[in-house]
Amino acid sequence: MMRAALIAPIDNSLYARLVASELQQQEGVQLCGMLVRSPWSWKRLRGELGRDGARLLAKIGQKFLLGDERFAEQAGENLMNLVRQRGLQMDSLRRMAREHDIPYLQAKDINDAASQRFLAGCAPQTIAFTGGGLVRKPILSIPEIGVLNCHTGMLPRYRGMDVMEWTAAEGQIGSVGMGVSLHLMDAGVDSGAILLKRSLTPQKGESMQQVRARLEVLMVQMMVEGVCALRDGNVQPQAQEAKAGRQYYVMHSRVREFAERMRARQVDKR
Amino acid sequence: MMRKVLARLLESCAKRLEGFTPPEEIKTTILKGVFELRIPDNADAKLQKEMDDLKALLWQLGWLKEEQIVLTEAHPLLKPDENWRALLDQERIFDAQGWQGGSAGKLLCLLEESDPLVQQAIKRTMEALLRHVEVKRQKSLQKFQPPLTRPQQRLERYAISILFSRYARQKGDLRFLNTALKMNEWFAKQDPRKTSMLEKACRLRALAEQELSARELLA
Repeated sequence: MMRAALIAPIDNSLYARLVASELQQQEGVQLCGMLVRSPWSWKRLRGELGRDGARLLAKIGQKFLLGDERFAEQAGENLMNLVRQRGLQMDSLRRMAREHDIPYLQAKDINDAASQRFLAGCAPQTIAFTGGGLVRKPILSIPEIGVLNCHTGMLPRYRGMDVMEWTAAEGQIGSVGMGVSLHLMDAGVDSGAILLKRSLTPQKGESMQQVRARLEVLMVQMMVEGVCALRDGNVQPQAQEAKAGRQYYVMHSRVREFAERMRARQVDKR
Repeated sequence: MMRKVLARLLESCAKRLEGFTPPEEIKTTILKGVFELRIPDNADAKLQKEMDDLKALLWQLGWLKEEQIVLTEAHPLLKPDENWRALLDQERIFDAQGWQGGSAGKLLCLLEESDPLVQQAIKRTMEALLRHVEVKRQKSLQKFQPPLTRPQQRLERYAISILFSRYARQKGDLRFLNTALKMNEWFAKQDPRKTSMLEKACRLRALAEQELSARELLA
């Protein structure tokens, strides 16, 4: 039996809910705890405003005002379609925890002492991280196997922020590809050992947002696949070479516009 | 329905706020700024050199219709000496004590040097500096060694933006131009309007250097 805990960025995160629900249904996997970051914290707001700038406004609109409805007008593969396919009913992690008797904690800071005590008490072998900010060493050291993160980019080459856009901007869609990497988290940024990698081919006319929506579906599948592979002992994490990749940062809107042009150049004119 | 309208409103606000200054507007700002800078005949060598370098950049951008202007030799004070090179080797240009004031200009002088060991040392310093500016954002580059006055700090930050733009161009590494674009926007918002001629010239040069890199890397 693999004991897995979950860390989520907000209680109604669709990605986190799907991962939790899928893990709950796996034989030989026990969801032993859920740690959810509270959205109402001044520290969190300040941190995200500093990182995302004006983009935070759009994020608030999408995640808090629209919630799952934000997928309604999106064509193609996305998390909402996965919800429909799986018949997922549950609208919050809190509700799921209550219904399945899973220990649950909402915390202002996922690294604080209460969160550490909570997770240590759950005694997980692994933690599925679905967002919620930086994870510090005391939390990273709790599970015996490690904390799993699905990164929206091809590791080790593309670490950090906005890497899908950076892949396009650097003309690497064809060679490196757009994809998802499941890795164990360490003190660095996306620098831990890699478990699984998968890429997809962007279609002609497909926007970055649509590609991202497809990658999110892949992230759910890979997180569950990773936990099951660890349970069965048939995956060997591969350490990353520090020099094999670069760290990327939030993209300036002028570079972002260039990335979109580069995406079109690489994909639409193929 | 109401939630949808509000979400759309927030999204359009975000797009408007996130939008960047169009390159044409930046060009106008630079040319207007250069025109308004009336450098006296007896200007000191530093200011004169800054203006010459700025004009050389404008010429490279095709915005000056004069005969070719080439970059002049670096000021002797900017040339890296042995002590500074030792600090670079020991990765102490930028450490917990802060940024070694004057290092941006010295690094610019060294960019063309072919010694692979020097290039590796520069690379390490540039990556550390990039990470610091991106993580701390507007609060970055506040500690200098030895301590600098406020105008000197601003000059050093302009020099770092220039260094980022040129390094991006030299290495074909968009990440550094990305950070220079952000830095130049922060300067425009936070720096005082009334500054010395030297500061004005440096700020214009940071913008011109950014535009030259953008022309090469974002085309």
